[in-house]
Amino acid sequence: MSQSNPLDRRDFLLRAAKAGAAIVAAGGAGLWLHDRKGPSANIVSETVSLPDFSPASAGPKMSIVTGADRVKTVNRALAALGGIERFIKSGDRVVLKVNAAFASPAALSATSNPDLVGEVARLCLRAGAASVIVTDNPINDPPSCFSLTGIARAAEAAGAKIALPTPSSFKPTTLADATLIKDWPLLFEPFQGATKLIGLAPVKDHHRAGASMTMKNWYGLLGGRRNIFHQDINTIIFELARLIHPTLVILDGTTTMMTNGPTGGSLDDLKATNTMIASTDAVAADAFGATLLGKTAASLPFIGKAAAAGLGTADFESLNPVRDHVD
Amino acid sequence: MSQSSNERGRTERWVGFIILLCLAGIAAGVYHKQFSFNPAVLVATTAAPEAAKTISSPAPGEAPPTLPPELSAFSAPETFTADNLYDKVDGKADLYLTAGFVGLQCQRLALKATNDTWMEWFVYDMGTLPQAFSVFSLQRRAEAQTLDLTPFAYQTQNSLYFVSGRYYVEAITAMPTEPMMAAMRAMARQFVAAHPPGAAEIPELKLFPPENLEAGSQGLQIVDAFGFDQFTNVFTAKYRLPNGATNVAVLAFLELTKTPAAAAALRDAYRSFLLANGGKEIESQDAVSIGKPINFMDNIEIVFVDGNTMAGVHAAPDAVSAAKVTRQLADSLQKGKP
Amino acid sequence: MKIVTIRRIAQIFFFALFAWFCVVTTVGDRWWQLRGWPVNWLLQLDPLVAVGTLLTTKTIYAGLLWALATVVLTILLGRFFCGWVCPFGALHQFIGWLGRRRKKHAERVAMNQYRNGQVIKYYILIAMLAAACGGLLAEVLRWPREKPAVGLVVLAASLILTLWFATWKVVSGWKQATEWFAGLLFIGTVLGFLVRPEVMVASSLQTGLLDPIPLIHRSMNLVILAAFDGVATASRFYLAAWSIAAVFFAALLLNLWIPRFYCRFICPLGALFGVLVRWTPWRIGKRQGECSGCELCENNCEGACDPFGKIHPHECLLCMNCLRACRQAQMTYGPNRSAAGEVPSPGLTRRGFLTAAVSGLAAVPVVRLAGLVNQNWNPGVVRPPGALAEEDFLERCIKCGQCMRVCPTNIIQPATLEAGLEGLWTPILNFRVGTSGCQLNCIACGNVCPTSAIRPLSLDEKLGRGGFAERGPVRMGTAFVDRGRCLPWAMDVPCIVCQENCPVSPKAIYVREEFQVVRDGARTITAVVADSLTLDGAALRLGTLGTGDYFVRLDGAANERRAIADNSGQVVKLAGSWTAVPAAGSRIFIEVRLQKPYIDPARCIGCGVCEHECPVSGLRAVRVSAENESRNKRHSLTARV
Repeated sequence: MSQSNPLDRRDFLLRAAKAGAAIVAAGGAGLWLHDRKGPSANIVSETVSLPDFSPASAGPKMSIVTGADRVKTVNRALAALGGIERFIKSGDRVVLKVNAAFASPAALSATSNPDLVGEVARLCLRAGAASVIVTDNPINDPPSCFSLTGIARAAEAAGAKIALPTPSSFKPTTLADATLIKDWPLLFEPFQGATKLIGLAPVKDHHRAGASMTMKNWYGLLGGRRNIFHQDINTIIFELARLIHPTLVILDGTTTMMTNGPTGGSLDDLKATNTMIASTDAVAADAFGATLLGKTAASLPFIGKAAAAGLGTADFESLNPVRDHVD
Repeated sequence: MSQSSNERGRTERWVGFIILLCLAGIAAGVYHKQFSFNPAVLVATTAAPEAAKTISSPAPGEAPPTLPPELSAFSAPETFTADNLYDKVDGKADLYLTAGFVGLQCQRLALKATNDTWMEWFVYDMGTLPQAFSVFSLQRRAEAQTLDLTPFAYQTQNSLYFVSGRYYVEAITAMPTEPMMAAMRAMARQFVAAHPPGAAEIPELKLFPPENLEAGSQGLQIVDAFGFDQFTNVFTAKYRLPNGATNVAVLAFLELTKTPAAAAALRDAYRSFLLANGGKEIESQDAVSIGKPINFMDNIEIVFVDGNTMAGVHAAPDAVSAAKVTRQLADSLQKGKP
Repeated sequence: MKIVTIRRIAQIFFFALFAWFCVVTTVGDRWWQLRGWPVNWLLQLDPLVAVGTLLTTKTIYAGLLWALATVVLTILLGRFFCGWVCPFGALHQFIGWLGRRRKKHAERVAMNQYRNGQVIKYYILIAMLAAACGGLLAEVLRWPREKPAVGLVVLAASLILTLWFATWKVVSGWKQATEWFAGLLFIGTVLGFLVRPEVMVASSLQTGLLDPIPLIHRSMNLVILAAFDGVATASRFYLAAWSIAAVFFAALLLNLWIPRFYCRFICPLGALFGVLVRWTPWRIGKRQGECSGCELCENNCEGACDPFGKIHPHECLLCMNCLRACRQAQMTYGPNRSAAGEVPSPGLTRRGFLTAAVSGLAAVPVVRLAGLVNQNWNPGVVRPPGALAEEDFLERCIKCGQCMRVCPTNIIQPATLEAGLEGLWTPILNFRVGTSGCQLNCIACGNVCPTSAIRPLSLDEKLGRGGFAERGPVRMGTAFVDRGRCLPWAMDVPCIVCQENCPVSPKAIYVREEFQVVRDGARTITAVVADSLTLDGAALRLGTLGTGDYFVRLDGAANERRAIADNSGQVVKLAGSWTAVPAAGSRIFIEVRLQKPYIDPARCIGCGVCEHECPVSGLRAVRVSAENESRNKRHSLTARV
C-alpha cells in the first residue's frame, strides 16, 4: 500500500508519537487525579486561630479612673498600668477592636466613643506602633456603621486604618473543646501580621446577655449567621473569652447605657457614670463594669463561667486596682 | 484491485470479529458485575424484615423462655435495652425508663394446633418487684378480670398482665380464641414457676385498710406522683365511699421514708407545694387532728406523718370523705406497726 | 461480515445496554432491578463528565476513570464513540436515515455537506468548560497575594517571555500559543495583585445540559420510562419533564432537516472528541486525490466531514458508510492522510474562542448575582440525603436523573428554577409529588450518583449510628408547623397524623395536649336526666361530639371532665358519670381535646414523611425546608447541633 511513501510514513510516525504522548499525558493525569473515595461528609476548610496577645510582663492589672473627659481618663488609666509603652512596643501592629455594631450617632453611646478610639490609636502610634487597624463586624451595614458613629473619621484623623469586613475577611476557626465555636467564620484578615490586640468597649445594657462589655465585644469578630448563638448567649461569650486573649481591654463607662440595650436609641437610656477602666483581665473589667449598670458580677452568668475557667477573676478588688480621678 | 478488495474483505472480517468479541466481553463483564450488589440494594433487601439490625440478639445470660407444649416459637426472641426501647414501645418507653427499666425480651409464639394463631410475649425486667409492680399498676386496664396467678395479675379479653418477682409480663394476641387464652395462662404459670420468688407480696400494700378499698386499685408511682417531684415511691390505693345513690372516690397514699424527720420534711414540702400552687388551708368540722385539710383545685388533700411513714389522701371530692379515709389509714398504719 | 453491519450491531448493542441500565435503575434485587448492574457505565465512559468534574473539583471520581479508556481509544482511532457507542447518536442516525430514505442522491449529498456552522459545538464546549474553570481561575488569581514572592517571579518571567516572543515574527502554532500563554499569565498575575476574587468567581458544571449521555439518560429516565411506568403500574411524576422532553424531541426532530443535526452542530462531547482526534494515527481518507466524483461516499456520511473533498477528520464519526459506498474502493481507513487533503483544524477563530471562553467564565458570577449560593439561598431547595454543600454540589451534578429514577418514593424531582438557572434539572425533593417522604432505610440516590454530587452514604452514616453516632443523622432540612393551617392549631380539629407518621425514633414530632372550649361551647344546663344533659343555646350538630375527643367540663372545676358519648341538637350524653351530678342551671363548657404538634429540631431529619402525610392536602400545614440541613453548617437552626 502507499505506506511506502517516506513522507507519508514520517507523517504517520509523527502523529503516532504525538498521539502516544497525549495518551501518556491523559493517562498519567487521570491516574494521578483519580479519587476513589469521593468527597467527605464535611469538606472542612482550613481553620485559623488567633495568637495569644496577652502581655507577658507583670505589674498592675487594672486601673479605674473617674472623670468626664475620656481623653484625660484613658490617659490616666493607661499611665496607672505603667503607660501604653508597657503594652505597645516600637514596630507593633495593633488591632483595635471597637464596638461599631450600629449605625447610630456617637451621642447615643451604642458604640465605642470616637474620641476615645482616636486617642487610643494616637497613643499606640506615639508609642511606636507601625500600624493601627480599627475593625469590627457590625450588625448594620459596615460602611454606614463606621462613618455614622464617627469612628472612621476619628480613627483616620489619628492615623489608624479602618478594616471593613468583606466576605473574604473571614476564615473558619475552631476552639478546642468548644460546644459552639466549631468551624465558625472569624474576622481574621485584620489580624494578619498583627502583634497586639486592644479591645475597646462601652458599658451597655444587653437584653439577652444582661450586659455588653469587653467580653461581649468579641462577638463582633464572628461572622456567619452568628445570631443563632443568642440561643446560648452566656456560653458564646464564655467561649469568645477563651478564644481571644487581648493585650489589653479598655472599658468605657463614661456614659453607661442603662436600659434598652444594646441599641438604646434615646438619651434617656443613658447615665453619666464617668468611669474609665483599663485592664489586662477582661473578666475583672466586666465584673467592675457590672456595678456601673447597677448589677453584680454574680448576676451575669458569663462572668461566672469565665472566672470558673480561670480566664480572669470576678473579684476585681483582689487585683488591687489603681484608682484615680481627673477633672 | 480485486486482490486488494479481497484483502480488505478479510481485514474487515477480522476486525469485525474482534469487535464482536469485545462486545461479548462487555456483555460478560456487565453480567458478572450485576452479582456484586449496589450497597443500596443490600440495605433495601436486608433491612426490610423486622428491622433486624437495631435489635440485639438475646444476652447470653437470658435463655429464651421455655414453652408449654401447645406453643411454638413464631419469631426469634428480641432483646431491647434502655437505649433502644423506643424502637419497640415508642410512646410508652418513658413510663418504663423512669421506673428503673433494665431490659425487655419479647417473642411471638404460635399455637401449634393452628400455627397462624399467635401472641406476643413481653418480659420487662424492671430490676425489683416494686418497680415491676409500678409499671403494672400504672397501666392497669379498665376491663381487668383478676386472675389467680400472682398477687398482681389480671386478664382482659385478649391479653394477660402480671408481675412475677422483678418481671412485669404482658401477653397480647389479636386472635383471642379459647385455646389461645388457655395457652397464654399456661405460659404465664410456667413463667411464674420458673422465676422465683414468683408470687411475692409487697409489704407496703398491706398498710392500706381493706374497708371500702377498690379491688386491684393499688398502685406505685416511682417519680413525680401528683406532679410533685420530691415524691419517690408513692403507693396509692383507691377507696369508694357510698354517697347517696352514687359513691365517691378517694385516693389514699403513703411513702415510707428512712426516718421520722424525713417523713415530716416530706409532708411539709408537699404542703408547701400545694399552698404555693393555689391550695388553701380550710377549717372543717371533719378535720382530723393529724393533718389540716387543704383545698386544692376544689379537691381536698390531707397529708400526715406516722413514724417513718408519710401518708394522706389525694383529690377527695369533699372534706367528709377525706377525713374518713384519713382516719382509716391512720388506724391501719398504727396496727401495721410491729 | 461488512464493517458497517458490525457498526450497526455495536450501536444496537450499546443502545440496548443503555436502555436496560435505565430500566433496571430501581431499588431491588430481582434481575430486572438495580442489583449490581453498572447503570452508570455509559456516563462513566463519557469523558466530558470526567473532564468537567476534573476542572471543577481537580479530581476524577471513582468510576469516572472509565473515561480514560474512551479518551485513549479516541486518540488512537478517532471518534468511534459517536459512531459506534453513543446511544443518542444511534437514535439520531436512525431517525436521520428514516428521514432521507426516499431522498434522491443529490439531495442526500446536499444534506450531508460540511457546513461552517459545525464549529458552533466547539464554542459550546469551550463556554461550558470555561464555566467549569472559574474556581481554578479564582485560585490562580489568589496566589499572587498569598505567595507574593512567587508571584513576582512569575510576573517577571512571563513579561520577559511575552516580550521576547512579541519581537519575533511569530508564525508557528506552538510559539503563538506560548506567547498567548505567557501573556495571559502576566495579565493574570497582575490582576491577582490588584483585585481580590470574591466568592462569586466560581465553577459551575453545566456540561450536563447538552452532554448527550446525561441528556439521553435524563430523557429516558424522566420522560420515556416515566410515561411507561404510568401506563404499567403506579404513576411517576416529574416536575420539569416537559422541558426535558422539549429538548429531547426537538433534538430528534431536527434530524429530519439535517441528519445528526445535534451531533454536527451542538454536541459538546463530539467537540471534545474532535479536539482529541488531532493526531490519530489511523483515519478515513481517499487513496488518490482524483476520482470519478460520484460523491457516493457522501450519500450517507454521518459526520458531514466531506470525504469526497478535503476531509474534516475532527468531524468524522467513523460510521464507515463511505468505505463500501465507493465503487472504486477509493476510501480507506488507514495510516495515511487523505490524498485529497485534510482540513487540519475545526476552524475556530481566536475571536470566537475568546468570546466563548469569556462568556462561559462570566456567566457564572452573573448567574450568582442572585445570591442563591450565598445569603439568598432558597430554603425550598431541599437536596437528597448526602448531597454536598450547594457550591460543591453544582460543581458535580450533571443532571443525568439517575437519582430521580432510582428514588423509590419519587420525591427526587428535577428543579426548574428553584436552585437558579444553573440548578436547572438538578435534584430537589418534593414531598407532595411522591408516594411518601425520604425512606429512613434507603440510601439509593447517593449510591447511584455517578459524580458523587450526592455522596454514597452507608445506612449507618445516614441514620447517624455506629461510628457516626456522634455526628448524628444526615439532615435534609427541618419540618415547620404552619400554625395558621394546622388543623389542631388553627381549627380545633384533632389530627396529629404528622406525629404518628414521624419515622424517627424517638419521634421528632411531639404533641402537647390541650383542652379548648369549642366555638359556642359555653352552655347552661337546662335539665339533667341520668347521664344526659340538656343544654341551652344553638342546636349542636348531630352526633359530631361523640368521637371521644369532646368533653364536658363544669364551670369552676379545673380538671374534671366527662367524655361525651353522643349528642343530639340540644342533648349531650356523657360516657362516664359525675361524682356529684350537676344541677340544672350550672354552667358547663364543651371542650375538645387537641394534641398540638411541635417539632424537635434536634431530632428532625427533614425526611418529609410528615409533609407528605399531612391531610391539609394543598399547601401542607407541616412543610420541610432546608434550614438545619447537614450539608451546610451555615444553615444551622440551633446553636448546638
